[in-house]
Amino acid sequence: MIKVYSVEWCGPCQKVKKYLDTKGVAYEVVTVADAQADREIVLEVSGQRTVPVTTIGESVIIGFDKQQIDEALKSL
Amino acid sequence: MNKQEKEIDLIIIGAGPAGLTAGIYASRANLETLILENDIIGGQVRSSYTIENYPGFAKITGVELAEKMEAQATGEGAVIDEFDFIEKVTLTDDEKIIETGDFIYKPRAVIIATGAKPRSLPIPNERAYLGKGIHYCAVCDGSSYEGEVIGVVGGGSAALEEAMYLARVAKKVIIIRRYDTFHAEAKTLKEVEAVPNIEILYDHDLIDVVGDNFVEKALVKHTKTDEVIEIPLKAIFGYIGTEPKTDLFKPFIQVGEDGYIKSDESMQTNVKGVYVAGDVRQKEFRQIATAVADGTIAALKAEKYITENKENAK
Repeated sequence: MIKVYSVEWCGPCQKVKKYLDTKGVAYEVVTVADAQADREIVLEVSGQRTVPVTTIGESVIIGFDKQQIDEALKSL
Repeated sequence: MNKQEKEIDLIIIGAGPAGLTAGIYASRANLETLILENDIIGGQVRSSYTIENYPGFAKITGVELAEKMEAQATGEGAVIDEFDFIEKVTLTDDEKIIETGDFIYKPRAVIIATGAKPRSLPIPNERAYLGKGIHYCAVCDGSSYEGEVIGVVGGGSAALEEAMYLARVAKKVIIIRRYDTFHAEAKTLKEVEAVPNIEILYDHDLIDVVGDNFVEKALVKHTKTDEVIEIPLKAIFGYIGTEPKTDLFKPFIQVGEDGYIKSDESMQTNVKGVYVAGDVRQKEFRQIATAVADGTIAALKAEKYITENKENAK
């Protein structure tokens, strides 16, 4: 299960989603600007408040990090 | 795995306003043009909430302007690759090689338009609280602090524009300014002064942040009296200027003492066939309009250089 916690206007968030699209993997987008509860989940899963946060299996990736995303996808 | 070699007319490194404009002109000149972008297409514009000083658009969001520029460049035929990162470059008068994760490109000319990145706040706890109250992208992370007190550090237009964006979500925004003036546009300052939940703290310097794992207080010092005060807040957004992205090129390309790439008025660097455009270039004013101008000149000069070289080779 892949989740991308993001906000609509953020460049790195768009880049994560576009990259996952090029990899042909399905993911769920959680738009965290919409609800306090979702923002608290960002904090809970990543220990910080910057988006995007991408969860791929057990991996938690902060920001756009191609290498980390590739490695996490391999482990699925 | 052996990487495939590819010959190409022009590689533009960076897809901000300078690089995208160069891409528009180069493609319209029928140059085979590839724009490589490690970071975000649109550059700093993409992270700006609104732009009010780019001719033709009285007010436009950064996202919209960036997307329009990108669409125009690709519409003219430029190819943008934002996922194949540059690993190393060789840039000499006789040889230009750009090696990415997937390819070894041999371009006839190169335009460096990598731009600049936000300068980190020079406080001891910057790294410790990064993402935990220290931030640099208001449109990305501002909503995490809805209803809270937020600090903004900086004195340029970016600091003021982003403070106005943050004031829409925050209970209060405190702009921390080292001097008693701003170097932002006068009109923007007036707009900021009219926002009821923005307070400007002149003559104060942020010296550190403290808190239990997350920022809870800012320590600021009066620059004239040295008095230190604590301000309870949940986040600080830093807009204290930028630093050029030149690490890849330094072995080949001359930079000034300030770290920005040197060029003449035609955007020519010290290497023939290598041009520079936008915020990464040594110059006085860094605006979208000046980046666009640089990109235009660099592309036209690159086209001339490529054409002359092709004719000489006949």
